[in-house]
Amino acid sequence: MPLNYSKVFREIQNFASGAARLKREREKQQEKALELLHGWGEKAEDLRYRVAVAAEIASYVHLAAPTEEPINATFPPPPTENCAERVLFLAADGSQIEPNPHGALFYALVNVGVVVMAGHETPRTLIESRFYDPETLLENRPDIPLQRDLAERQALAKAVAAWQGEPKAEQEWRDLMDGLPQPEAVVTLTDGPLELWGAKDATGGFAEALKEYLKSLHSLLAAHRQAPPAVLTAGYVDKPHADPVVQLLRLAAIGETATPEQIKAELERRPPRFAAISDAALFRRLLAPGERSAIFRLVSRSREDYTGDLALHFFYLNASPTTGRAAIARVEIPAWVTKDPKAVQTLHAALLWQTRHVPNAPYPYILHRAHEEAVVRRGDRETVERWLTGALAENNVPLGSRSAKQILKDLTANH
Amino acid sequence: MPQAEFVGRVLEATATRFWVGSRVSRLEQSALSFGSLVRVAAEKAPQAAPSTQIYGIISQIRLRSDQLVESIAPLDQIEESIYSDQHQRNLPIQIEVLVLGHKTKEGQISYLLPPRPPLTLARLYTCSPEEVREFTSRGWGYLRHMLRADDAPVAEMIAVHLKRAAAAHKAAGNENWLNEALHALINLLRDDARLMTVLRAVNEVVPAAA
Repeated sequence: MPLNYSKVFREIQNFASGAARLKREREKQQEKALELLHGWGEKAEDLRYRVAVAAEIASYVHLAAPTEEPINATFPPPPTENCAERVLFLAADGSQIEPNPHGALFYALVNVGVVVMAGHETPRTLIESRFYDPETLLENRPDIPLQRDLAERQALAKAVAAWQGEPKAEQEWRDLMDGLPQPEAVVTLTDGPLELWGAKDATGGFAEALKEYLKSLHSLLAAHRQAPPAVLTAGYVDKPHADPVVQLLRLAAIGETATPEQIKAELERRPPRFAAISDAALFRRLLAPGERSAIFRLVSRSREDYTGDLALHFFYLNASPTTGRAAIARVEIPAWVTKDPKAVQTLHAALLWQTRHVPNAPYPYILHRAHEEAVVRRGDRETVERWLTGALAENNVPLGSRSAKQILKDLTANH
Repeated sequence: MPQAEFVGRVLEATATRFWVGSRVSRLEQSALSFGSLVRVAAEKAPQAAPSTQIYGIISQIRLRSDQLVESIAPLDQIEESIYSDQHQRNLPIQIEVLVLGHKTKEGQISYLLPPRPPLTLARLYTCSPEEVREFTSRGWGYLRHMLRADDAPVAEMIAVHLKRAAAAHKAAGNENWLNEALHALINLLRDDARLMTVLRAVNEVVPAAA
């Protein structure tokens, strides 16, 4: 029997019996949090002070800090007509084959799909693949998901550079961007946060990857400064689970005044206040279809890496076209995008336009397509492995062998 | 008539038919269509392979959908770029090929079924006019394979094939090929109720022929 069904069943029953109580508790917390959000809408200065103190006390915080927009502000959906003509969309998404130390072949692969949508023409696509041989894997021990994330972002920078006529751009990138119509803005999208994630220890190459990533972001910023058109970079987090705004409201909940000691106590409070709710739950109640929230600055451990025009910001978007079930996404943007209200409005409209093409799935179409292009299918994997096997055999390099553990796993994999 | 073009690769095969995977974009760019004469060539034919080419006719083309297409399909308005994008996505097209014969290792065209079906991932090409002439010049034995296909639109398949093959022969100066083919067909179907259906279909694509 693959599961201990009787145990799982009992646990589901226990959970369900408590779910109603949990729902009531969650609603109570949401009411209180919303009340605070509205009550503190105009007190940005005080909140910024509290965030600064919290960040001093605990480097691990993941907090939203107010910007010029009141924290309870909502912005109606801008018109999306002519977005196809006004905006040049670029998206990149990646997938990977992770090295399997138990397999006969030790290798890895990162595959990035890039999609360009301009005007009403058929979207253009490009796939960039990188093969990691055993030697590279053993010597450098790269964190493959981190390399994938980096490659996605680098792809966008390469595409924009090629579009702007960078003389060093490779031919395939020039071909991809050749002859595109001149838009009012360029929107570059990746799926997930704008912040690069990875184990920040010495192995895995996080520091090097971050350096390269920042280089790509600087390159996009330079393209933006060469405006017009504006280059608007964003990371799209669908159905987010994080709670930086709720964490901010924890600081507000201390009271009208807050000493550093009170802030420290709030940070150490267990369980934390509003533990049952996320930002998405809060903004699901605040945002009407198509609306966006205020922009917040992200105060996290990585804030020292993303400074000046690269400082990370975000807003929430209800991408749903209709009332009923809200579709909340967190849109992460660098500071340079936040500086121009018109640019933010263009990004807002562009995202809504992108999410309107597939009924009941309000997610940017271009990101879905980039994902689809990038996915490494079983057939692709088999081809790579066949080539690798053949190349090793031709050069009289003995193949590795599967571990005994892998052999046994493969015996039962299809059952 | 266009030259030979790569269409796709064999997914599954039996002695009498095989299925090939392709893409919409390739279909749009090629002259491939229902009733086309095609041939399969293995990438690296093993020494022991009994045939160097396997010939067949396209008896079905199936465009597969997925949930994204199904979600978009009911919309009244589809943005132009999204519409055209569906045709370059990795949605597989499945092409069914009815086996008609093969070329032996000695280079002879045979209308017998090949001793072995093509191997998976073997490449499928459309036949050039020259290849069509070569395959259809040795007699009419291959027609029986088409007539045996119970689950294919036999009359239309034969009609389209006759039209194209006749054009290939005519281009090489043989004006009589179609008449000979029709005589052979009538002979093959003389006790078969399908004869009139086939002749009517031929008449639609090659007026005054039947």
